[in-house]
Amino acid sequence: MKNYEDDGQWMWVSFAPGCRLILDFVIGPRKQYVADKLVELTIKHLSDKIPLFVTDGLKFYRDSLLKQFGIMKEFP
Amino acid sequence: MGKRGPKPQFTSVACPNKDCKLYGLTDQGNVTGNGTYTSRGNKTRRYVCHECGKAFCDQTGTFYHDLHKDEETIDLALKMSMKGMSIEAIADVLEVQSASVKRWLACAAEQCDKVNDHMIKNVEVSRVEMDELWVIIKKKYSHE
Repeated sequence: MKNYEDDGQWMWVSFAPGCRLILDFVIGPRKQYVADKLVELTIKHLSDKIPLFVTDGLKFYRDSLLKQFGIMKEFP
Repeated sequence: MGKRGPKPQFTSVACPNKDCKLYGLTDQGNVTGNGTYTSRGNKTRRYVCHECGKAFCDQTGTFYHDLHKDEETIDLALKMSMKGMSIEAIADVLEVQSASVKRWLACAAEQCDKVNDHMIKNVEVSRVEMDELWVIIKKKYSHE
């Protein structure tokens, strides 16, 4: 259990607490690409409406969500 | 007067070939019986689709298709796995090769994925939570 905090495999889960439904999961290390995969898989199950995404604050989620839903707007 | 000739059979059977025009449609008159064969001690019916010409059987497209062991044994292996028994222990109890158990588990996982993808579509929820759970995979390495 020495390397508990970050090393090793994690099960990344996305779930809808409103209907107690596990939407999808990915097993992988705490890396950006795994977060990207989870967000991508989760979106496949959702309708066109974008829900509120609640996370534990891990920055990988923010970057993944921005990749999927973010729109760059430049102001003059 | 009704239609002459024998009544159409297998009207509830649909063609499982995704490239077929009548894929997944029942009661189209395209499927007829194509004999039977014995598999794992049970009689299995074969069908043929006259639209695409492909032959298939009752188990085509299911988890049990192309698996040689009987369904009860495979179900038991999956149940034991869900209860936390190791692959070696399951193989030992059922007197089969551990490679077979591994293959069944892989097939079941693949089928579950398909069912999941098919069933969980267009979910409308207001909130999605995402989190990571630490899991023990490759126990040996984590203890080193």
